[in-house]
Amino acid sequence: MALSKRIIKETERLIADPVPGIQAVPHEDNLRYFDVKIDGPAGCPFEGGKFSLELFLPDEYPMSPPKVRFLTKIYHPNIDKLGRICLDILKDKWSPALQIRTVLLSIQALLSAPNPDDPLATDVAKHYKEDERDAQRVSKEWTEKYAK
Amino acid sequence: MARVPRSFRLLEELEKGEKGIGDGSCSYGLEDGDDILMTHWNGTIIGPGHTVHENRIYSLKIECNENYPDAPPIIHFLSRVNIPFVNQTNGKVDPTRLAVLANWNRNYSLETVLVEIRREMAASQNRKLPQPAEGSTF
Amino acid sequence: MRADVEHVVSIFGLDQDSARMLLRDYNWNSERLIEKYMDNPTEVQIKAGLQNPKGAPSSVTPIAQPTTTRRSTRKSTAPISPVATKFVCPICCDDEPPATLSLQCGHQFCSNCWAQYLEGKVREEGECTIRCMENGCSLLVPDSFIKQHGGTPVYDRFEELVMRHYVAHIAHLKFCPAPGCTDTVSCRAAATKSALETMVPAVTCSQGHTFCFGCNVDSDHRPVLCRIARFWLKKCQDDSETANWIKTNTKECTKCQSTIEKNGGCNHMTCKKCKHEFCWVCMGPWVDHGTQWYSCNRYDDKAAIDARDAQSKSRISLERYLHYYNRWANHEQSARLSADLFAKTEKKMEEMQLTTELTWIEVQFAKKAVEEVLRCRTTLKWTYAMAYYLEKSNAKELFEDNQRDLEKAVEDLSELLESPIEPETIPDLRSKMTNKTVYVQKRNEIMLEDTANGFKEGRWTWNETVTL
Repeated sequence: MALSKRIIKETERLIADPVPGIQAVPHEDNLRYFDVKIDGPAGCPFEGGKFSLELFLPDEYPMSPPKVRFLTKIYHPNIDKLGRICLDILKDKWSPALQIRTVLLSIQALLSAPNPDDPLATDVAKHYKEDERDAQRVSKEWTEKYAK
Repeated sequence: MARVPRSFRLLEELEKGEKGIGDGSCSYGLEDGDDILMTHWNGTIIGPGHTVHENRIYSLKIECNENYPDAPPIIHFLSRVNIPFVNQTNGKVDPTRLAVLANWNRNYSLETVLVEIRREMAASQNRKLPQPAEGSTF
Repeated sequence: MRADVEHVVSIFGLDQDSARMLLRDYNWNSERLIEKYMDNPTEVQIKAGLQNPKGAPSSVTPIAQPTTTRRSTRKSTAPISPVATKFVCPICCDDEPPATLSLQCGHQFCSNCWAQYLEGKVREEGECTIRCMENGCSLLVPDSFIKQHGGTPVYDRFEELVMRHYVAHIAHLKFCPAPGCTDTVSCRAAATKSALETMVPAVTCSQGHTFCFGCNVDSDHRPVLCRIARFWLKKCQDDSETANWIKTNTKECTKCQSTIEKNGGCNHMTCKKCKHEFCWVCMGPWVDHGTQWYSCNRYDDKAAIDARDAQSKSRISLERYLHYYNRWANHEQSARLSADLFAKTEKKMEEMQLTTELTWIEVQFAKKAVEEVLRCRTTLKWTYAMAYYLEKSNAKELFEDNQRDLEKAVEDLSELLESPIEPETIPDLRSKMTNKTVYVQKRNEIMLEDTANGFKEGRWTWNETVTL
């Protein structure tokens, strides 16, 4: 299937003008499927980690949001054991004016601003609510263990 | 149509399986909720009515390797069952003897496979085959 | 719906679109909307997405500033090639789109993308609250914009969604649940939950489908209250009851394992399937019993007596339930059989109409009778559910008298329906059946009216199972 102009342009720009700390490279055999690397933002327990993700643009893109998942294990209240992400813009708040780069930036921002009130991983969220300091310690441990 | 990569395809299947499929006579889920590669799955088939399988619950082990869904999953029965396409020593489903696996197509899913196996159980040549004791395993 | 919109339009001098959008935001509660709008129109408009708050939207993509003119001609800068001066649709990246459109916010996109977006929202997501495509812009797409740019099928579906939204939020309105029926029924009396404690709101739509306005348990479960009907059905669905029943009332043939129900008579059983003869009590082959026809020696064994005692305890409560359940189920089944029978009768009548002098009108009497029988059997069915939960009292006795009268009348009419139809007997049959139908109808009315009054007067007392 011919790739839409939009996807081609987005891909070109992602490569020519990458966002600092974010890398997205399409698979050679499937140009809708991207390997993504996000650097953990400074000043949060994920700092220094390099997180792998995968991103897929479904047929309906950009009318429907891209599908994104973490491949690196991460201790975060809005990301579950299978790497699924709970983020409004990936669901009902999706706007076709959003792009791959804005989505990835939002995910990066989610790392520094976890939201335990809207959890996907309930046990992690509980931990964050009850003892944030200890939860952050675990997040940091996991970053050291899995994201290096 | 865009080719949905393996992992997003399996996530879709997982979500469908969690919601429950059809009339509940077939179900499946991840063997280990931590399995980020989503390779190992469990399946359950409730034996079709008016056959020797009626009221029996069959457990299966399903492996979706890196080639899924381009290649079919590898299926093993854990519960003992006597059907021609199931190896009687280890419970493995012979992919050459089950049409849905032999003529695999990328659009088939774990649900398709389980539903097809259940349909085979009710097929005229299989519905009356003598069965091993209920609850025995391979 | 139209009246509500007009009302808001006339009070605030708004256009139709705005009024509809505001009402939707307030879930069609026009009083609350009017009150709030009086207080602070700007706030209400912002909340409903009729205008953007000042300084909004905060958007990641560089995009034109909001302008106040509709259909702004100002070109937005495309996010992907920020230096371009020519318009490039930020959604599809088409640099030569057929047309560009924007809402009041000025966020420009090409007409193709708008159409695709509206179609996706309306047809796939079933949304009637659609916002500007720009990220973070909460401006609502006006109805007229959808009409103009979404295409007819999309707009028709949108109107349907708005209608559904309206009906869903108006307590005294409901869609007819019959498949394929699009009729809406209004029932103000049953608009509150507490009303359902004293009435059964059986309603009929303009297409003739009867349904309960208060619940979706059964199309017409009069005279039983929704809550009690639900209770009853749940009990009947409970597998344990059925299992209990099977355990108490059936045994398996010792030879072929067929399930056998003993429905009275002596203990000498002969399996219908394999003709095996055995004793119901000891389950042994009958031949061992020799000539003792009506009793089994082993009946008096201690073990057998104990077993029977245990069984009888569970039977007491079970039998009470079964008494009502069997009658309940019987009416349901009889209704089905009557319907089947009527299909045959109708055919015969059609034939008769061709072979005799009788006119179409004259052969219609059986149809009326069958319809009445079906209606009454539904009532009777539910009276048994009601009786199960009724505490023993004089009121209950009167209830059961009415029930018995209705039942007797219905059975008589049913019997008439089964009598053979011959051309010579038709006039006689017709007058009998017509009379009986009228009588049955009256009995049914009495039954329903009396129970309904009982609810109003608080005449019915329930046994503990319902008050829990």
